Amino acid sequence: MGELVEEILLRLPPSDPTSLVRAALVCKPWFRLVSGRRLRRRFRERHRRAPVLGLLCNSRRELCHCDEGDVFRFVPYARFPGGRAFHHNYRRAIDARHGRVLLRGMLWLDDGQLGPGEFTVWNPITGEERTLPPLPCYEDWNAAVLCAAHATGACDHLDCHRGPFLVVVVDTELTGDIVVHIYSSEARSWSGGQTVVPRPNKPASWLWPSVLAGNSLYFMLRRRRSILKYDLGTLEISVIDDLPRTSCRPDVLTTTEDGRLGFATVSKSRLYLWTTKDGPAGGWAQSRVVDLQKLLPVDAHSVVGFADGVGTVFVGTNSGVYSVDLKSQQARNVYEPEGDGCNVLPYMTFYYPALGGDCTGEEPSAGASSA
Amino acid sequence: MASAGSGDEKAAAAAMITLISSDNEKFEVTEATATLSQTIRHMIEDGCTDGGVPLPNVTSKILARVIEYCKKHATAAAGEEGSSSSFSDAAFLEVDRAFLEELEEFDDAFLEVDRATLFDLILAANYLDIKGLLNLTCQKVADSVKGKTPEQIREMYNIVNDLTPEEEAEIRRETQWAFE
Repeated sequence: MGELVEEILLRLPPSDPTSLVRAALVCKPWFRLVSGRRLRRRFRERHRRAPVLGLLCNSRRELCHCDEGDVFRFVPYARFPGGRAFHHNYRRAIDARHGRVLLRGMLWLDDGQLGPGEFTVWNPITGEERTLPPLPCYEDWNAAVLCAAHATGACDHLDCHRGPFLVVVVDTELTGDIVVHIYSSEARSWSGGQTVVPRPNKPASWLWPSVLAGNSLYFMLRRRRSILKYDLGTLEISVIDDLPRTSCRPDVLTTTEDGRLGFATVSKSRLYLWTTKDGPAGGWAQSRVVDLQKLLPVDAHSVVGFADGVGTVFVGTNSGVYSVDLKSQQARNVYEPEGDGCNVLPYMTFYYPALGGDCTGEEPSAGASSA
Repeated sequence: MASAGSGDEKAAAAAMITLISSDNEKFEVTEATATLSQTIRHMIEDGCTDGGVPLPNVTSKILARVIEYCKKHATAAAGEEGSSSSFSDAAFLEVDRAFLEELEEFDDAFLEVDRATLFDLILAANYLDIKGLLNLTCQKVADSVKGKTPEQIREMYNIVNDLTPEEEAEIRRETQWAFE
Protein backbone atom coordinates (compact mmCIF):
# COMPACT_ATOMS: atom_id res chain seq x y z
CA MET A 1 0.00 0.00 0.00
CA GLY A 2 3.00 2.30 0.61
CA GLU A 3 3.62 2.39 -3.12
CA LEU A 4 0.05 3.59 -3.68
CA VAL A 5 0.24 6.24 -0.95
CA GLU A 6 3.29 7.52 -2.83
CA GLU A 7 1.19 7.67 -6.02
CA ILE A 8 -1.34 9.80 -4.14
CA LEU A 9 1.17 12.13 -2.44
CA LEU A 10 2.84 12.61 -5.80
CA ARG A 11 -0.34 14.31 -6.97
CA LEU A 12 -0.50 16.98 -4.27
CA PRO A 13 -0.27 20.47 -5.78
CA PRO A 14 3.23 22.06 -5.98
CA SER A 15 1.51 25.45 -5.77
CA ASP A 16 0.79 24.71 -2.08
CA PRO A 17 3.94 23.35 -0.35
CA THR A 18 2.04 23.09 2.97
CA SER A 19 0.03 20.16 1.60
CA LEU A 20 3.19 18.00 1.73
CA VAL A 21 3.92 19.18 5.29
CA ARG A 22 0.41 18.28 6.46
CA ALA A 23 0.77 14.88 4.79
CA ALA A 24 4.05 14.30 6.65
CA LEU A 25 2.21 14.87 9.94
CA VAL A 26 -0.42 12.18 9.29
CA CYS A 27 1.64 9.14 10.38
CA LYS A 28 5.14 7.66 10.32
CA PRO A 29 4.88 5.92 6.93
CA TRP A 30 3.63 9.14 5.31
CA PHE A 31 6.38 11.14 7.01
CA ARG A 32 9.01 8.70 5.68
CA LEU A 33 7.60 9.02 2.16
CA VAL A 34 7.46 12.84 2.19
CA SER A 35 10.93 13.25 3.72
CA GLY A 36 12.48 10.60 1.48
CA ARG A 37 14.57 11.24 -1.59
CA ARG A 38 12.42 9.10 -3.88
CA LEU A 39 9.17 11.09 -3.54
CA ARG A 40 11.13 14.34 -3.78
CA ARG A 41 12.65 13.22 -7.10
CA ARG A 42 9.38 11.86 -8.51
CA PHE A 43 7.45 14.98 -7.41
CA ARG A 44 9.87 17.15 -9.40
CA GLU A 45 9.66 14.86 -12.41
CA ARG A 46 5.89 14.85 -12.38
CA HIS A 47 5.31 18.59 -11.95
CA ARG A 48 7.55 19.96 -14.65
CA ARG A 49 6.64 23.62 -14.18
CA ALA A 50 7.57 25.86 -11.31
CA PRO A 51 4.37 27.31 -9.79
CA VAL A 52 3.77 30.97 -8.96
CA LEU A 53 4.48 31.27 -5.21
CA GLY A 54 4.03 35.03 -5.00
CA LEU A 55 3.90 38.36 -6.77
CA LEU A 56 6.49 41.11 -6.74
CA CYS A 57 4.61 44.35 -7.27
CA ASN A 58 6.27 47.64 -8.12
CA SER A 59 4.78 51.09 -7.98
CA ARG A 60 5.97 54.66 -7.50
CA ARG A 61 4.55 57.06 -4.98
CA GLU A 62 5.40 60.06 -2.86
CA LEU A 63 7.65 58.82 -0.07
CA CYS A 64 9.01 61.93 1.63
CA HIS A 65 9.55 65.65 0.95
CA CYS A 66 7.39 65.36 -2.15
CA ASP A 67 9.94 63.01 -3.69
CA GLU A 68 8.55 60.13 -5.63
CA GLY A 69 10.20 56.83 -4.90
CA ASP A 70 9.88 53.16 -5.75
CA VAL A 71 7.83 50.92 -3.52
CA PHE A 72 8.07 47.20 -3.92
CA ARG A 73 5.59 44.86 -2.28
CA PHE A 74 5.68 41.09 -1.97
CA VAL A 75 2.27 39.40 -2.17
CA PRO A 76 2.54 35.67 -1.36
CA TYR A 77 0.26 33.27 -3.24
CA ALA A 78 1.21 30.27 -1.14
CA ARG A 79 2.90 29.53 2.16
CA PHE A 80 6.59 28.73 1.93
CA PRO A 81 9.60 29.65 4.08
CA GLY A 82 10.03 33.40 3.79
CA GLY A 83 6.65 33.72 2.10
CA ARG A 84 5.39 36.66 4.14
CA ALA A 85 3.71 39.78 2.84
CA PHE A 86 5.88 42.87 3.24
CA HIS A 87 6.95 45.99 1.43
CA HIS A 88 10.15 47.95 0.89
CA ASN A 89 10.31 51.67 0.19
CA TYR A 90 13.06 52.91 -2.11
CA ARG A 91 13.43 49.56 -3.81
CA ARG A 92 12.22 48.12 -7.09
CA ALA A 93 12.07 44.52 -8.32
CA ILE A 94 13.71 44.67 -11.74
CA ASP A 95 13.53 40.99 -12.60
CA ALA A 96 12.67 37.60 -11.11
CA ARG A 97 13.75 34.28 -12.55
CA HIS A 98 14.87 30.81 -11.51
CA GLY A 99 13.88 31.43 -7.89
CA ARG A 100 15.76 34.70 -7.47
CA VAL A 101 14.76 38.33 -7.46
CA LEU A 102 16.89 41.20 -8.73
CA LEU A 103 16.27 44.38 -6.75
CA ARG A 104 17.53 47.87 -7.36
CA GLY A 105 17.77 50.29 -4.46
CA MET A 106 17.54 54.08 -4.49
CA LEU A 107 20.08 56.48 -3.02
CA TRP A 108 19.98 60.11 -2.03
CA LEU A 109 22.42 61.87 -4.32
CA ASP A 110 24.61 64.86 -3.38
CA ASP A 111 22.14 67.22 -5.01
CA GLY A 112 19.32 65.97 -2.77
CA GLN A 113 17.67 63.95 -5.54
CA LEU A 114 16.91 60.27 -5.51
CA GLY A 115 19.13 58.23 -7.81
CA PRO A 116 19.62 54.55 -8.54
CA GLY A 117 21.32 52.58 -5.78
CA GLU A 118 22.89 49.14 -5.66
CA PHE A 119 21.75 45.89 -7.22
CA THR A 120 20.77 43.14 -4.78
CA VAL A 121 19.92 39.54 -5.61
CA TRP A 122 17.40 38.16 -3.13
CA ASN A 123 16.35 34.57 -2.56
CA PRO A 124 12.88 34.77 -0.96
CA ILE A 125 12.97 31.15 0.23
CA THR A 126 16.23 31.32 2.16
CA GLY A 127 16.00 35.07 2.80
CA GLU A 128 19.58 35.48 1.57
CA GLU A 129 20.47 38.75 -0.08
CA ARG A 130 23.64 39.51 -1.98
CA THR A 131 24.50 43.11 -2.74
CA LEU A 132 26.49 43.30 -5.94
CA PRO A 133 29.62 45.44 -6.28
CA PRO A 134 28.71 48.97 -7.44
CA LEU A 135 28.13 49.29 -11.17
CA PRO A 136 27.79 52.84 -12.40
CA CYS A 137 24.84 52.91 -14.76
CA TYR A 138 23.38 55.75 -16.75
CA GLU A 139 19.68 56.47 -16.67
CA ASP A 140 18.55 54.06 -19.32
CA TRP A 141 19.35 50.48 -18.44
CA ASN A 142 17.68 47.19 -17.80
CA ALA A 143 18.82 44.02 -16.10
CA ALA A 144 18.03 40.33 -15.78
CA VAL A 145 18.89 37.60 -13.27
CA LEU A 146 19.17 33.94 -14.25
CA CYS A 147 20.67 30.60 -13.27
CA ALA A 148 24.34 30.44 -14.32
CA ALA A 149 23.84 27.01 -15.89
CA HIS A 150 21.16 28.18 -18.33
CA ALA A 151 23.36 28.63 -21.40
CA THR A 152 24.71 25.07 -21.10
CA GLY A 153 21.19 23.60 -20.90
CA ALA A 154 22.31 21.54 -17.89
CA CYS A 155 19.60 22.82 -15.53
CA ASP A 156 15.81 22.36 -15.58
CA HIS A 157 15.43 25.42 -13.29
CA LEU A 158 12.82 23.77 -11.11
CA ASP A 159 14.61 24.49 -7.84
CA CYS A 160 18.04 25.87 -8.70
CA HIS A 161 17.48 28.91 -6.48
CA ARG A 162 20.51 28.09 -4.31
CA GLY A 163 22.94 27.62 -7.22
CA PRO A 164 25.24 30.07 -9.02
CA PHE A 165 23.57 32.92 -10.88
CA LEU A 166 24.30 35.63 -13.42
CA VAL A 167 23.06 39.20 -13.61
CA VAL A 168 23.04 40.73 -17.09
CA VAL A 169 22.85 44.52 -17.30
CA VAL A 170 22.27 46.34 -20.58
CA ASP A 171 23.19 49.98 -20.14
CA THR A 172 22.73 52.82 -22.62
CA GLU A 173 25.69 55.18 -22.48
CA LEU A 174 25.40 58.94 -23.00
CA THR A 175 26.53 58.40 -26.61
CA GLY A 176 23.51 56.13 -27.17
CA ASP A 177 25.62 52.99 -27.45
CA ILE A 178 24.47 49.96 -25.46
CA VAL A 179 26.98 48.06 -23.35
CA VAL A 180 26.51 44.75 -21.59
CA HIS A 181 27.83 43.97 -18.09
CA ILE A 182 27.64 40.50 -16.59
CA TYR A 183 27.93 39.66 -12.91
CA SER A 184 28.85 36.11 -11.99
CA SER A 185 28.01 34.96 -8.44
CA GLU A 186 30.90 32.52 -8.60
CA ALA A 187 33.50 35.11 -9.66
CA ARG A 188 31.78 37.72 -7.43
CA SER A 189 32.60 40.39 -9.99
CA TRP A 190 31.38 42.16 -13.13
CA SER A 191 32.79 41.49 -16.56
CA GLY A 192 32.08 42.77 -20.06
CA GLY A 193 31.53 46.46 -20.51
CA GLN A 194 32.35 46.60 -24.20
CA THR A 195 30.10 48.52 -26.55
CA VAL A 196 28.03 45.95 -28.31
CA VAL A 197 25.29 47.86 -30.09
CA PRO A 198 26.31 51.21 -31.46
CA ARG A 199 23.39 53.58 -31.12
CA PRO A 200 20.22 51.53 -31.46
CA ASN A 201 17.17 53.64 -32.23
CA LYS A 202 16.07 53.79 -28.57
CA PRO A 203 17.68 53.26 -25.17
CA ALA A 204 17.04 50.38 -22.77
CA SER A 205 14.59 50.85 -19.92
CA TRP A 206 14.06 49.10 -16.57
CA LEU A 207 10.33 49.80 -16.82
CA TRP A 208 9.71 46.50 -18.59
CA PRO A 209 11.07 43.19 -17.25
CA SER A 210 13.06 41.04 -19.64
CA VAL A 211 12.01 37.61 -20.86
CA LEU A 212 14.14 34.53 -21.48
CA ALA A 213 13.08 32.65 -24.61
CA GLY A 214 15.26 29.77 -25.74
CA ASN A 215 18.82 30.84 -25.09
CA SER A 216 18.29 34.59 -25.43
CA LEU A 217 17.26 37.41 -23.14
CA TYR A 218 14.95 40.03 -24.63
CA PHE A 219 14.61 43.60 -23.35
CA MET A 220 11.99 46.07 -24.53
CA LEU A 221 13.50 49.35 -25.68
CA ARG A 222 11.98 52.72 -24.90
CA ARG A 223 8.89 53.75 -26.90
CA ARG A 224 8.17 50.01 -27.23
CA ARG A 225 8.84 49.86 -30.95
CA SER A 226 11.87 47.59 -30.80
CA ILE A 227 13.39 44.81 -28.70
CA LEU A 228 16.99 44.12 -27.76
CA LYS A 229 18.07 40.49 -28.05
CA TYR A 230 21.04 39.14 -26.11
CA ASP A 231 22.11 35.61 -27.04
CA LEU A 232 23.57 33.92 -23.96
CA GLY A 233 25.33 31.29 -26.08
CA THR A 234 27.04 33.43 -28.68
CA LEU A 235 27.04 36.60 -26.51
CA GLU A 236 25.79 38.45 -29.57
CA ILE A 237 23.40 41.33 -29.20
CA SER A 238 20.98 42.59 -31.83
CA VAL A 239 17.89 44.76 -32.22
CA ILE A 240 14.53 43.45 -33.40
CA ASP A 241 12.58 46.31 -34.94
CA ASP A 242 10.11 44.49 -37.19
CA LEU A 243 7.31 44.58 -34.61
CA PRO A 244 3.87 44.29 -36.21
CA ARG A 245 2.38 47.60 -37.25
CA THR A 246 -0.65 47.60 -34.99
CA SER A 247 -2.31 50.50 -33.30
CA CYS A 248 -1.13 49.28 -29.89
CA ARG A 249 2.43 48.74 -28.75
CA PRO A 250 3.56 45.81 -26.63
CA ASP A 251 2.76 46.21 -22.91
CA VAL A 252 4.94 43.30 -21.84
CA LEU A 253 7.13 40.73 -23.54
CA THR A 254 6.02 37.09 -23.28
CA THR A 255 7.25 33.63 -24.20
CA THR A 256 5.46 30.63 -25.63
CA GLU A 257 5.67 27.08 -24.31
CA ASP A 258 8.01 26.14 -27.15
CA GLY A 259 10.40 28.97 -26.32
CA ARG A 260 9.40 31.67 -28.81
CA LEU A 261 9.26 35.36 -28.10
CA GLY A 262 5.93 37.15 -27.96
CA PHE A 263 4.21 40.14 -26.49
CA ALA A 264 0.90 41.05 -24.90
CA THR A 265 -1.07 44.24 -25.13
CA VAL A 266 -4.50 45.55 -24.21
CA SER A 267 -6.68 47.69 -26.44
CA LYS A 268 -10.33 48.55 -25.80
CA SER A 269 -10.59 45.89 -23.09
CA ARG A 270 -9.30 43.18 -25.37
CA LEU A 271 -6.11 41.29 -24.66
CA TYR A 272 -3.98 40.66 -27.76
CA LEU A 273 -1.21 38.08 -27.78
CA TRP A 274 1.40 38.09 -30.53
CA THR A 275 4.17 35.60 -31.12
CA THR A 276 7.11 35.35 -33.50
CA LYS A 277 6.54 32.95 -36.36
CA ASP A 278 8.57 29.82 -36.90
CA GLY A 279 10.78 29.51 -39.93
CA PRO A 280 13.52 31.54 -41.59
CA ALA A 281 11.16 34.25 -42.86
CA GLY A 282 10.37 35.25 -39.27
CA GLY A 283 7.69 37.84 -38.67
CA TRP A 284 4.88 38.05 -36.15
CA ALA A 285 1.44 36.49 -35.88
CA GLN A 286 -1.48 37.37 -33.64
CA SER A 287 -1.91 34.17 -31.66
CA ARG A 288 -4.86 34.99 -29.44
CA VAL A 289 -7.46 37.63 -28.62
CA VAL A 290 -9.26 37.49 -25.25
CA ASP A 291 -12.31 39.63 -24.56
CA LEU A 292 -11.52 40.95 -21.08
CA GLN A 293 -14.95 42.53 -20.70
CA LYS A 294 -16.36 39.06 -20.23
CA LEU A 295 -13.82 38.22 -17.54
CA LEU A 296 -13.34 41.44 -15.56
CA PRO A 297 -15.84 43.65 -13.74
CA VAL A 298 -13.92 46.76 -14.85
CA ASP A 299 -12.07 48.02 -17.92
CA ALA A 300 -8.46 46.88 -18.32
CA HIS A 301 -5.98 49.55 -19.36
CA SER A 302 -2.77 47.55 -19.87
CA VAL A 303 -0.93 44.30 -19.33
CA VAL A 304 1.34 44.73 -16.29
CA GLY A 305 2.93 41.30 -16.02
CA PHE A 306 3.27 37.80 -17.43
CA ALA A 307 4.01 34.43 -15.81
CA ASP A 308 6.25 32.39 -18.07
CA GLY A 309 5.18 28.77 -18.60
CA VAL A 310 1.90 28.87 -16.66
CA GLY A 311 -0.11 30.98 -19.12
CA THR A 312 -1.09 33.76 -16.74
CA VAL A 313 -1.13 37.45 -17.62
CA PHE A 314 -1.64 40.26 -15.14
CA VAL A 315 -3.73 43.20 -16.29
CA GLY A 316 -3.99 46.62 -14.71
CA THR A 317 -7.40 48.24 -14.15
CA ASN A 318 -8.59 51.28 -12.22
CA SER A 319 -9.49 48.97 -9.36
CA GLY A 320 -6.36 46.89 -9.04
CA VAL A 321 -4.39 44.21 -10.81
CA TYR A 322 -6.16 41.08 -12.03
CA SER A 323 -4.56 37.78 -12.94
CA VAL A 324 -6.05 36.16 -16.04
CA ASP A 325 -5.49 32.45 -16.57
CA LEU A 326 -5.41 32.00 -20.34
CA LYS A 327 -6.35 28.32 -20.24
CA SER A 328 -9.29 28.38 -17.84
CA GLN A 329 -10.25 32.00 -18.69
CA GLN A 330 -10.56 32.72 -14.98
CA ALA A 331 -9.70 36.14 -13.60
CA ARG A 332 -9.16 37.29 -10.03
CA ASN A 333 -8.13 40.47 -8.26
CA VAL A 334 -4.63 39.95 -6.87
CA TYR A 335 -3.25 43.31 -5.86
CA GLU A 336 -4.28 46.89 -5.14
CA PRO A 337 -1.42 49.20 -6.11
CA GLU A 338 -0.90 52.29 -3.99
CA GLY A 339 0.79 54.44 -6.61
CA ASP A 340 1.47 54.90 -10.29
CA GLY A 341 3.55 52.97 -12.79
CA CYS A 342 2.61 49.61 -11.37
CA ASN A 343 4.04 46.42 -12.74
CA VAL A 344 4.01 42.84 -11.49
CA LEU A 345 6.64 40.11 -11.62
CA PRO A 346 5.60 36.60 -10.66
CA TYR A 347 7.91 34.81 -8.24
CA MET A 348 8.06 31.26 -9.55
CA THR A 349 9.99 28.37 -8.13
CA PHE A 350 9.51 24.86 -7.00
CA TYR A 351 9.66 24.39 -3.25
CA TYR A 352 9.72 20.95 -1.67
CA PRO A 353 9.70 21.09 2.14
CA ALA A 354 12.94 20.09 3.87
CA LEU A 355 12.07 17.46 6.48
CA GLY A 356 13.81 14.96 8.71
CA GLY A 357 16.56 17.38 9.73
CA ASP A 358 17.68 17.47 6.15
CA CYS A 359 17.79 20.26 3.64
CA THR A 360 19.46 18.59 0.71
CA GLY A 361 17.01 15.84 -0.10
CA GLU A 362 19.06 12.91 1.22
CA GLU A 363 16.97 10.04 2.50
CA PRO A 364 16.92 10.14 6.30
CA SER A 365 18.01 7.05 8.15
CA ALA A 366 15.33 5.02 9.92
CA GLY A 367 14.15 6.71 13.10
CA ALA A 368 15.97 9.93 12.31
CA SER A 369 12.80 11.84 13.08
CA SER A 370 12.94 11.05 16.78
CA ALA A 371 16.54 12.17 17.13
CA MET B 1 -18.88 -27.61 -34.93
CA ALA B 2 -16.68 -24.55 -35.00
CA SER B 3 -16.28 -24.81 -38.77
CA ALA B 4 -19.91 -23.73 -39.20
CA GLY B 5 -19.11 -20.13 -38.18
CA SER B 6 -18.13 -17.54 -40.78
CA GLY B 7 -14.61 -16.09 -40.85
CA ASP B 8 -15.82 -12.78 -39.42
CA GLU B 9 -17.43 -14.44 -36.47
CA LYS B 10 -14.25 -16.36 -35.82
CA ALA B 11 -12.18 -13.18 -35.81
CA ALA B 12 -14.67 -11.49 -33.51
CA ALA B 13 -14.69 -14.50 -31.20
CA ALA B 14 -10.91 -14.56 -31.14
CA ALA B 15 -10.84 -10.92 -30.13
CA MET B 16 -12.91 -11.62 -27.00
CA ILE B 17 -11.21 -12.25 -23.66
CA THR B 18 -12.77 -13.78 -20.55
CA LEU B 19 -11.82 -12.18 -17.24
CA ILE B 20 -12.51 -14.11 -14.05
CA SER B 21 -12.96 -12.20 -10.78
CA SER B 22 -11.87 -13.43 -7.34
CA ASP B 23 -15.44 -14.57 -6.63
CA ASN B 24 -15.39 -16.56 -9.86
CA GLU B 25 -17.64 -14.38 -11.99
CA LYS B 26 -16.81 -14.35 -15.70
CA PHE B 27 -16.73 -11.17 -17.83
CA GLU B 28 -16.46 -11.26 -21.64
CA VAL B 29 -14.68 -8.21 -23.01
CA THR B 30 -13.09 -7.24 -26.30
CA GLU B 31 -9.33 -7.36 -26.60
CA ALA B 32 -9.29 -3.60 -27.16
CA THR B 33 -11.00 -3.10 -23.79
CA ALA B 34 -8.87 -5.65 -21.97
CA THR B 35 -5.55 -4.37 -23.26
CA LEU B 36 -5.94 -1.02 -21.56
CA SER B 37 -4.52 -3.13 -18.75
CA GLN B 38 -0.81 -3.64 -19.37
CA THR B 39 -0.93 -6.73 -17.17
CA ILE B 40 -3.55 -8.37 -19.40
CA ARG B 41 -1.82 -7.13 -22.57
CA HIS B 42 1.33 -9.00 -21.53
CA MET B 43 -0.69 -12.14 -20.79
CA ILE B 44 -2.28 -11.98 -24.26
CA GLU B 45 1.13 -11.48 -25.85
CA ASP B 46 2.43 -14.49 -23.95
CA GLY B 47 -0.60 -16.54 -25.09
CA CYS B 48 -1.78 -17.30 -21.53
CA THR B 49 -5.42 -16.26 -21.90
CA ASP B 50 -7.01 -19.51 -23.05
CA GLY B 51 -9.73 -20.54 -20.66
CA GLY B 52 -9.97 -17.02 -19.26
CA VAL B 53 -7.79 -14.70 -17.22
CA PRO B 54 -8.09 -15.27 -13.47
CA LEU B 55 -7.82 -12.05 -11.46
CA PRO B 56 -7.65 -13.29 -7.84
CA ASN B 57 -7.10 -9.76 -6.46
CA VAL B 58 -10.21 -8.20 -7.96
CA THR B 59 -13.80 -8.78 -6.84
CA SER B 60 -16.64 -8.92 -9.37
CA LYS B 61 -18.04 -5.63 -8.04
CA ILE B 62 -14.76 -3.80 -8.69
CA LEU B 63 -13.97 -5.64 -11.92
CA ALA B 64 -17.35 -4.55 -13.34
CA ARG B 65 -16.43 -0.92 -12.63
CA VAL B 66 -12.93 -1.33 -14.08
CA ILE B 67 -14.40 -2.84 -17.26
CA GLU B 68 -16.88 0.03 -17.49
CA TYR B 69 -13.93 2.46 -17.39
CA CYS B 70 -11.87 0.50 -19.93
CA LYS B 71 -14.80 0.14 -22.36
CA LYS B 72 -15.40 3.89 -22.37
CA HIS B 73 -11.75 4.78 -22.77
CA ALA B 74 -11.11 2.11 -25.40
CA THR B 75 -14.07 3.41 -27.44
CA ALA B 76 -12.80 6.97 -27.15
CA ALA B 77 -9.33 5.91 -28.29
CA ALA B 78 -10.77 4.02 -31.26
CA GLY B 79 -13.04 6.97 -32.13
CA GLU B 80 -10.09 9.33 -32.20
CA GLU B 81 -8.12 7.02 -34.46
CA GLY B 82 -11.04 6.62 -36.85
CA SER B 83 -11.86 10.30 -37.05
CA SER B 84 -8.37 11.52 -37.80
CA SER B 85 -8.45 10.32 -41.41
CA SER B 86 -11.96 11.36 -42.34
CA PHE B 87 -12.26 14.92 -41.02
CA SER B 88 -10.62 18.18 -41.87
CA ASP B 89 -8.33 19.61 -39.18
CA ALA B 90 -10.98 21.95 -37.83
CA ALA B 91 -13.64 19.24 -37.79
CA PHE B 92 -11.18 16.86 -36.20
CA LEU B 93 -10.44 19.36 -33.45
CA GLU B 94 -14.17 19.76 -32.82
CA VAL B 95 -14.66 16.01 -32.59
CA ASP B 96 -11.57 15.75 -30.45
CA ARG B 97 -12.89 18.36 -28.04
CA ALA B 98 -16.31 16.71 -27.90
CA PHE B 99 -14.67 13.38 -27.10
CA LEU B 100 -12.54 14.89 -24.38
CA GLU B 101 -15.50 16.66 -22.81
CA GLU B 102 -17.54 13.50 -22.88
CA LEU B 103 -14.67 11.55 -21.34
CA GLU B 104 -14.23 14.13 -18.60
CA GLU B 105 -17.92 13.95 -17.78
CA PHE B 106 -17.71 10.18 -17.71
CA ASP B 107 -14.65 10.27 -15.43
CA ASP B 108 -16.32 12.71 -13.03
CA ALA B 109 -19.40 10.51 -12.77
CA PHE B 110 -17.21 7.41 -12.51
CA LEU B 111 -15.47 8.83 -9.43
CA GLU B 112 -18.75 9.33 -7.56
CA VAL B 113 -18.10 6.35 -5.28
CA ASP B 114 -17.53 5.82 -1.57
CA ARG B 115 -13.98 5.84 -0.19
CA ALA B 116 -13.75 2.07 0.18
CA THR B 117 -14.65 1.57 -3.49
CA LEU B 118 -12.20 4.32 -4.50
CA PHE B 119 -9.38 2.49 -2.70
CA ASP B 120 -10.39 -0.85 -4.23
CA LEU B 121 -10.30 0.83 -7.65
CA ILE B 122 -6.78 2.17 -6.93
CA LEU B 123 -5.61 -1.29 -5.92
CA ALA B 124 -7.17 -2.84 -9.03
CA ALA B 125 -5.77 -0.14 -11.33
CA ASN B 126 -2.34 -0.74 -9.85
CA TYR B 127 -2.56 -4.53 -10.08
CA LEU B 128 -3.93 -4.45 -13.64
CA ASP B 129 -1.53 -1.63 -14.56
CA ILE B 130 -4.10 0.72 -16.09
CA LYS B 131 -2.28 4.07 -16.09
CA GLY B 132 -5.26 6.31 -16.83
CA LEU B 133 -7.41 4.77 -14.10
CA LEU B 134 -4.59 4.87 -11.56
CA ASN B 135 -3.99 8.54 -12.33
CA LEU B 136 -7.70 9.38 -12.13
CA THR B 137 -8.30 7.63 -8.81
CA CYS B 138 -5.07 8.75 -7.10
CA GLN B 139 -5.72 12.36 -8.18
CA LYS B 140 -9.21 12.09 -6.65
CA VAL B 141 -7.69 11.09 -3.28
CA ALA B 142 -4.98 13.78 -3.53
CA ASP B 143 -7.67 16.39 -4.23
CA SER B 144 -9.67 15.19 -1.24
CA VAL B 145 -6.82 15.87 1.21
CA LYS B 146 -6.03 19.33 -0.22
CA GLY B 147 -6.35 21.94 2.49
CA LYS B 148 -7.15 19.33 5.16
CA THR B 149 -5.38 19.16 8.52
CA PRO B 150 -3.46 15.99 9.45
CA GLU B 151 -6.26 15.15 11.92
CA GLN B 152 -8.91 15.48 9.21
CA ILE B 153 -6.88 13.32 6.80
CA ARG B 154 -6.46 10.58 9.46
CA GLU B 155 -10.17 10.65 10.18
CA MET B 156 -11.14 10.53 6.50
CA TYR B 157 -8.97 7.52 5.74
CA ASN B 158 -8.90 5.70 9.13
CA ILE B 159 -5.18 6.21 9.60
CA VAL B 160 -3.68 5.66 13.06
CA ASN B 161 -1.23 8.33 14.12
CA ASP B 162 1.91 6.48 15.18
CA LEU B 163 4.10 9.59 15.41
CA THR B 164 5.20 10.31 18.98
CA PRO B 165 4.38 13.80 20.31
CA GLU B 166 8.14 14.52 20.16
CA GLU B 167 8.35 13.51 16.49
CA GLU B 168 5.31 15.59 15.66
CA ALA B 169 6.78 18.59 17.48
CA GLU B 170 10.05 18.15 15.60
CA ILE B 171 8.30 18.16 12.20
CA ARG B 172 6.31 21.24 13.18
CA ARG B 173 9.50 22.95 14.35
CA GLU B 174 11.21 22.21 11.03
CA THR B 175 8.27 23.52 9.04
CA GLN B 176 7.16 26.41 11.22
CA TRP B 177 6.55 28.52 8.10
CA ALA B 178 3.65 26.23 7.16
CA PHE B 179 1.73 27.05 10.34
CA GLU B 180 2.33 30.77 10.70
